[in-house]
Amino acid sequence: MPSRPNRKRGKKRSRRRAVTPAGLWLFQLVLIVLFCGATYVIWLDHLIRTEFEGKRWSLPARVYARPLELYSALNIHPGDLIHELELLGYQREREVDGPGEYALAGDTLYLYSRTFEFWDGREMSRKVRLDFAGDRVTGLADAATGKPVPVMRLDPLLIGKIHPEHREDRVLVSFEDIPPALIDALIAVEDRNFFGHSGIDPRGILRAMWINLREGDVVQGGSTLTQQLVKNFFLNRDRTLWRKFNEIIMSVLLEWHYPKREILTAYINEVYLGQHGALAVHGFGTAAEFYFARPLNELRTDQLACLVGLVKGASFYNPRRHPERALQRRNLVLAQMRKLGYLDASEAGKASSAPLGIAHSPGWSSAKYPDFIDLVRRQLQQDYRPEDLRSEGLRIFTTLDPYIQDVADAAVSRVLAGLEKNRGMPGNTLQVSAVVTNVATGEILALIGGRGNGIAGFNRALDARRPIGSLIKPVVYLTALSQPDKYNVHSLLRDEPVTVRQPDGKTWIPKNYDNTAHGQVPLHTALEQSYNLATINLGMKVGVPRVIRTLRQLGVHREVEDYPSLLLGAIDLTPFEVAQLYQTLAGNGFTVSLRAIREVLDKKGRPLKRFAIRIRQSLDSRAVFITNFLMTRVVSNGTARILAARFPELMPVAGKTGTTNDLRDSWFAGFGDNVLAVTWIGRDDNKPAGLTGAAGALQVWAEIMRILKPAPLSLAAPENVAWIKMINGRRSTDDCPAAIAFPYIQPYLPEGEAWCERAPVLPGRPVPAIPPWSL
Amino acid sequence: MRQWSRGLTVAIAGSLTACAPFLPQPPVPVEDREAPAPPPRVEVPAELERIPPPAVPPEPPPARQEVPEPAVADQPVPGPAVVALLDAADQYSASGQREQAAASLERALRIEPGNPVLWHRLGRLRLQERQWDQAIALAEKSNALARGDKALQAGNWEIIAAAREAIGDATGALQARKRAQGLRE
Repeated sequence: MPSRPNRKRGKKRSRRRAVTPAGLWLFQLVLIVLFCGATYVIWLDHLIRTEFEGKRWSLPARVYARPLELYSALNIHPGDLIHELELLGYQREREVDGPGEYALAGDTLYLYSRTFEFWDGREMSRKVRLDFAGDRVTGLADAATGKPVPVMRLDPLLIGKIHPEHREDRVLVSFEDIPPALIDALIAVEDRNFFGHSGIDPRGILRAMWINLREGDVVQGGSTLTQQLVKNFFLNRDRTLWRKFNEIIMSVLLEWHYPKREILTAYINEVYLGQHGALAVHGFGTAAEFYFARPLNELRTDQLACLVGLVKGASFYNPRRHPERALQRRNLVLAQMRKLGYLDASEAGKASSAPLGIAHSPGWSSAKYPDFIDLVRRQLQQDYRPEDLRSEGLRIFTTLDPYIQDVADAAVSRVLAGLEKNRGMPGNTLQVSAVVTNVATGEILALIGGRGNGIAGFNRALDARRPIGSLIKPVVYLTALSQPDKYNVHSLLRDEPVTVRQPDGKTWIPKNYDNTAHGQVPLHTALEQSYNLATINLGMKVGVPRVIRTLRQLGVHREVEDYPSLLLGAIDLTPFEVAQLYQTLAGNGFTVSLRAIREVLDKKGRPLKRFAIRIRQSLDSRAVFITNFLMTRVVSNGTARILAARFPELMPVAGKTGTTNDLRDSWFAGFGDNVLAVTWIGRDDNKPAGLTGAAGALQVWAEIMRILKPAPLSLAAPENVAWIKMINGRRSTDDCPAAIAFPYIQPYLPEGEAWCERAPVLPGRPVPAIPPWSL
Repeated sequence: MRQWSRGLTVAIAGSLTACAPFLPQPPVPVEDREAPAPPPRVEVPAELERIPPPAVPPEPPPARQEVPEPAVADQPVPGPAVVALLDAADQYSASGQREQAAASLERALRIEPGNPVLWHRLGRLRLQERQWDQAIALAEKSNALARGDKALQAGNWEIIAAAREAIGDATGALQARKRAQGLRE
């Protein structure tokens, strides 16, 4: 056995020795080199194909505000509609002839909307006319046919993006959506022979050298678009010959495998076109949004040329930082297009004389709605893995109303600056938070987590737990009114000193805010004037555990300790939690969970998940209704009566003030039929802010609502609630002029003979400008 | 299924065309006015009352979820936007796209949150999806808003009856069914 190989080896050796020309060595070397070369090319081929085919660009999740619904009878000031259109990047024109444009003629607004993919289907682009009468849309019709359009949606405002780790921003564009002028411009300046060459273009290199020499400037690069794409794929930016060699091989391979349009589309989505803070702006779709705040397919030729100019040096030709250079470069691109016949003389002239037209700010900014985006992110984290949020290009449709958010932001700045000035506080002493919701749907319309100067990223609306003070009182009164056989609006309560033994053994002697005990007071007065002693006495009688149960039913899920001090609001809640609590009151006992997200779509616009209205009847509508009625009296007659005095046109609304010990926290919660808002003012260091609920948080609330003008509370009583006219706690005759109708749950109506007297003696009527007892 | 959807469409078309003229309910007094008298009733046309309450077998096949669409009486006529969205919801329902239908109804609710017909419709949708708790709560919400509209209230009680039956609350279902019948008489 072992002898045979020996023999063979021997033979070989002898043969090699026999013929040993240097040629054979060379031949073998060539073979090896060829083999290695082929392996290398195959490896490169594998690399480029995996990169190209497996190229799933990680796309940031895009977060949208609510789309604005347009219909006849919509209440909106034309100026506010135009503001929304401007936010969306619509252009005001004299004549409207393309999507993303509008024109105003007297009381009529012409609008060419954009096509947009929603959860429930595609909203098609359409040209409509809106007729206004004051703050109301009186007609919405197709601009061409005059046929009424019952309802339509604008595209929603992009309010933020959730970005991948490597900090790229990208808006993908498909080949069909690439404007032809963009391709023309790219070809004119970057790769004239693109549709003819096979990856590399030796003639192009020569021509580029010649043109650059002639122009005395680098007008054209020698690399083909394909080479540039390869370069972009493999981020290695060193300029070595070896890299150039790889690039050429891979370009040829890419061209061999894929059609031109796929390569071009990849290029258009890949090329680096600027920097948005820490984010790299990749692709023309992203750049259109970033520089012009509009979709790519709405850009004019001059704007496209400006973007193409950036390919050569996104930072050097940055149109925001170097408008002169950018303009020059753009006109060079246009001239090149003209030379190659892509533009005629008049087109080129018109385009070259246009201003750059860069938008002041990018089409979106996560910085504008950070608190709301924070809430969205938290709600999403319950359903999605962080990496999916950042890379799958999810489209997240939220409930944010940018108009209401802007109104709330402005209101907060105005009121807080005013308060600090009036009270001689140094600027930025006070902090603030607000939650604005839709009563019927539980949608969060606006969220304020603080003023910009506070602790960065501290979202007070969600994270600042503060004692809620008298905001608890409606819960106590509701608990009592839920026993209609025992309590009604005129039940007499004892507003008398009381000593309470807490479960920890300590005694507690609560006081009224004005340090006065008012004796026997009707239940409605005790809530209107926010009397502490009457509330404690009532709450102790009803039982703290029962109040806690009501609190649960209203939607507060936090652990609550069974202490009597709970009755005066010794419970720490966030403004968001308070909003959920008052949401159930506003819903007449129906709880709707507060939501910031409506729908999630994947990057192709396919529906993934919907967060539908979820509702639960948690409390007897009748008792809640009566509590709400009493809260309208807080606003008309009680601690918040400054509101009714200053804004009679907003009435009736239900509301409650809240103030905590030493004026640390100032709260207000209030609602009409459709909109609810909870506001809070205090200090991050928890030192006294020096503001009662009425003097602080109420002012913010009022400033928001003064502008929003929400529908008042309709106070339509549920069945089995009767309105009974009362005077001084007694049933009155129906025609008694000074009597007031109060709601009662049937069959527990006030008894006694109806009577009438001229001058009613109502408790708690004196009217100082700002009530001193607004605890 | 198809039959069901055709019936639904017919019922809705009927209910919308049979809407009473706009009868504004005077705002209830905050302070010093007399409570409003209930607004006059509009008689429900006989043909809208045709569908008998559904008989519910223990394991519900789709047919049992057919709750008659009540006539809309006493309620303000919905605006054209809401009518269009109700139409869209019908079309989605008819093609089995229930969440799309729900989305359309929610759009309508943002425009007319106090319209009890919309809550009722959402309740019926949830009933079809066998979300019994939601169906009940939505019907209750509709009832809370449908003051004086007996036909709509009866429809809501039928939703409640069907949902209760499905979750095994036979007594509750019977009670709800009786409420519905009482309202229809």
